Amino acid sequence: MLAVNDYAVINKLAKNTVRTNKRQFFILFLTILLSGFMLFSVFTIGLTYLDLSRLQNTRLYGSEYDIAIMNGFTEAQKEILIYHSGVKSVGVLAYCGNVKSSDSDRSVNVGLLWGDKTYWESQKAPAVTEMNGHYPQRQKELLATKKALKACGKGSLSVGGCLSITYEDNRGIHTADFVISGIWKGYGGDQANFYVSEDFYEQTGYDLESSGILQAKFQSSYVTGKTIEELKDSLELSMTQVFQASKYIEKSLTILLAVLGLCFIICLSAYLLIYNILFLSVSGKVRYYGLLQTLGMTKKQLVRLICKQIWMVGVTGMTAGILLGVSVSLIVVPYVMKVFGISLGNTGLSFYPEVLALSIFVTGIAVLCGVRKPIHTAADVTPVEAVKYRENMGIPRAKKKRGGNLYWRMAKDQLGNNQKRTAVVFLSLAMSLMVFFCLTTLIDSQGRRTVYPNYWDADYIIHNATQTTENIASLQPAIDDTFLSEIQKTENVAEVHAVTGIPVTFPYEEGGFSDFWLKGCTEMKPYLIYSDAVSEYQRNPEKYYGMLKGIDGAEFDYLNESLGGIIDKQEFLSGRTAVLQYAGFEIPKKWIGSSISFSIGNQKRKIAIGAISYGDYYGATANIGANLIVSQSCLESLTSKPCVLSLVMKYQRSYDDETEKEIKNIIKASPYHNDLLSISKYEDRKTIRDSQSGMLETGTVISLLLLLVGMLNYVNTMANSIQNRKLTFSIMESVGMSKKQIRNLLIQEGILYAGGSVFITVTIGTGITYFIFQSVNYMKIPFTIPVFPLLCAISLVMVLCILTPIVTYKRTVRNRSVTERLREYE
Amino acid sequence: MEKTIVKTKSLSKHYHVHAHTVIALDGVDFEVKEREFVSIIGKSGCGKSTLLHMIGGLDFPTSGTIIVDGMDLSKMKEEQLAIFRRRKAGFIFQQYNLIPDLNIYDNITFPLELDGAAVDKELIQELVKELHIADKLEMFPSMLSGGEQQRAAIARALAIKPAIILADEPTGNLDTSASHEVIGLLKVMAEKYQQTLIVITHDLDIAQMADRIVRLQDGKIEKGK
Repeated sequence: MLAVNDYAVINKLAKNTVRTNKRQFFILFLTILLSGFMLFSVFTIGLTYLDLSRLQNTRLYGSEYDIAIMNGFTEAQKEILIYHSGVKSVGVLAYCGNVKSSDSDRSVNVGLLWGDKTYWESQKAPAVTEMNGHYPQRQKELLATKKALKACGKGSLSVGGCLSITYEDNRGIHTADFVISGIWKGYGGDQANFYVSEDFYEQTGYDLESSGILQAKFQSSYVTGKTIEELKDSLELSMTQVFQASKYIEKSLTILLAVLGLCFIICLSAYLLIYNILFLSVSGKVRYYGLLQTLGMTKKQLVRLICKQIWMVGVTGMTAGILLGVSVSLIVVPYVMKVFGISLGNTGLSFYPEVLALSIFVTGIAVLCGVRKPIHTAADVTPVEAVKYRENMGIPRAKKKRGGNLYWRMAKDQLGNNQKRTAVVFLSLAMSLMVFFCLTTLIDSQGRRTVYPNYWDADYIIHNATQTTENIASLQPAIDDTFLSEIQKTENVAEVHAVTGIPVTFPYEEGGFSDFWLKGCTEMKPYLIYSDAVSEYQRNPEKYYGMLKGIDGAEFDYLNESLGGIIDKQEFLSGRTAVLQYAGFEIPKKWIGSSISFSIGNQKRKIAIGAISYGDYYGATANIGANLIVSQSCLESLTSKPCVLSLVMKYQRSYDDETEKEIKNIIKASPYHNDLLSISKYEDRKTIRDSQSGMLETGTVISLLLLLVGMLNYVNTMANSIQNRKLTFSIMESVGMSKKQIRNLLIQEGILYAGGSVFITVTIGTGITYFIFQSVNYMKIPFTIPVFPLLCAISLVMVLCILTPIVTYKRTVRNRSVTERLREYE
Repeated sequence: MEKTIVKTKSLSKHYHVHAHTVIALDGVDFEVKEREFVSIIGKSGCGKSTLLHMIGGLDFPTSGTIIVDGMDLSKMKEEQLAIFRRRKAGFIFQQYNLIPDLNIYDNITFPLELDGAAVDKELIQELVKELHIADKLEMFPSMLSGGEQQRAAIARALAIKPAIILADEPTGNLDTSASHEVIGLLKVMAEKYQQTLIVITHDLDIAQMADRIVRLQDGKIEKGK
């Protein structure tokens, strides 16, 4: 056959068809726009979410690393890591001692750390938000945080200021003046430490081979367990070295798979969205295409005409969708976040060219694949068939007469008549609900990371830090009766539990507990010699004093539960049993059941050990020796003047701003305010929230976007379906069905769609969510269903499913009579 | 003397198409007696279908009145008209207008079910037997020939025991033999159940079968016989 130049006429016809069928093509345009928008926005914001998630980990851990080697490392091991192709950076961190007192505070507990250049400039940098001055270069320079300075009683000191401190290192206890070379602000557990120079570290007596920490960051954020294992094997670690991979990197591959799975679902949603509407759009015009064939249009020309129409709408829709995506992701979302004061840290929403390419690719593929089937349908139908064509007019199976409610029957039939379309609608609606469910669960779990586990899940803890290690008589009544009664009187404070105590000594007994403890202690302090230490201990046992601490019944219950409930409460309350606590080194279980001697002043006593605790809460006092925890009544029977060591408070309403302020004011008014250390659940949450930097909000935007797109997909599909069933509705009306009855039918159809999607979501969706949640749950957060947001989303979907068909029907019918509507098809 | 079942007075219907006004009916005065068989003829666009649809309560008049079985349709609201259609008027269309998603039985009983009325199974059996579609009840409209579909549409119209049967070119899509068969059946059934029958047709042979022929031209009744 000779080729004819029909481009002009096909182009003209395509343009005219699009122009005269604005409504139908607008739905298709909107669909492609939504897909492009969804893909671009969700991936752009999603990448930012992942960055923020990693930033949160970095901030919580204090620095950016994937693996760490602790208890020392060799130069060879460091080189293996440096030259490993998969490793991006290798930093060194080392402990250099601790500050015991300053010229302004005689009881200080601040650590000294040294980090090499890579550690400070590469690994620590993401967790540092502000830096004044520089990292210490000279021996007597310190890099501080406000918290560390405050702990030394020098909160007002600035860069260049001087500080005299007494510190202990591996060579003994020294006092020296230091200059503050810099002050930094940021995140991590190293806030109560000073960073020192390499010169200082070198003269502390510590060496990297026995106490250094090596931190390495991988090039890629996703590493297999095999790579980590191989790297670990190549390091040939000694028995004492500890190799630790971060929980994130250990699960990174599973996280990657889960992320890819979510990406796949999102792409599939976009595909279904386009496929569904394209199919409905083309099949709705089969009569028209049949007419064109009747007039002599060849199948080839028809295919070109349809492609031309889809191309025009597709390119416009895709461009508009991506432009909308760019505006929303890069302008609207950052602006709204800024307005609401939500910071994205140093990770802004940025333009990713690969996301743009992916969005265009997926939308294009969806259009190409989606148009194939309807094109075949349109081209394969003969002109005569086309005139009578109705969507889904294939030969159905004969159906027996059935009973039951007419509307339900018809609604079910409607869903069953075009199973493919029904499946697509169910799937896309359920998928967006499932993705919403899954993302909300993940985001909600991040939200629950707002609690640093503290002792007894308390809202506020105050420690009396007046004690010094060297002086048994240093403990002051910083928390006296007045202070205690003020705290108790504070509104919203529901419970106050006090730990009281008194210093005790453990008389030296060869082979006894004191001897065992002294041996352990000298092993930890290389500058002490055991035999000398024994003589010193015998002469001055008060230099090695411990504490006798009293707790109330409620606190005993909590402690006993944490110890596995091994202590008899009566024995404990009556003062016959104590809990031995020491966090310095491990105390063997053999001491349980034995009696330990201790002295209060000149009184010598013995008490049986019921359990051993390694928790550091009771070790928060400055005594070098062990702690004996007894009941408060037991303590009061031994001494008339026990001192309050700490207060544990629980509020009626947790995280109450006003209560926090009141308690802080009481502390501030105390003459001992410098020696009252606080742990606040409210402050901890604030710290973590700061470290999350808008991560939760970013995630919420993604899930809402996906839910919105899923719902719009349903609206589109339903609008198209109603449009295609206009004639059926008119026929129904012509034989006596009232508009109210049609509304009932549509409502029931909507309920079936909503019910089905919700059913899929709560069954399969819960399974998928649980699987994905556990795959990425490297923080071991318990799986909890976010009931409220899920119920809101389900309600929204229900309302939408019911309203969409009704509104669309109303818009389709407008005010036209049945006759007018029937005539459209004559 | 037979009672008048349909009476229109000065019935007009104007359609607005963009800026133009199309006069479909122009002051039509028309009467049909009970159990009468009337055929309406006229050129395309003369207002035949509009008149039939008005009588059937499918459309609202622009002016004038329509009384059917004592009810003034021009004063009825949409909901009332729907109830009127499913109780009083049995429609038969050229395109059959069966509901594609329902099988033939469900199509026939559909108006009854809409009314919440009990289905007279004996009547249905009798109708489908006489219309020769008793073996097609479980099938869907798309599985039937044009003649079978039109017979199903007749069964649907008769199942509600309407006061009036309105057929809009019921044979328009059928061949001659099927056309005569359908009209014959329609006439027999209307006589049997004592119903009024108004048929629109282009076929003069079919029109001749009626008791009276009404000719419409440019929205006006030209001649009544």
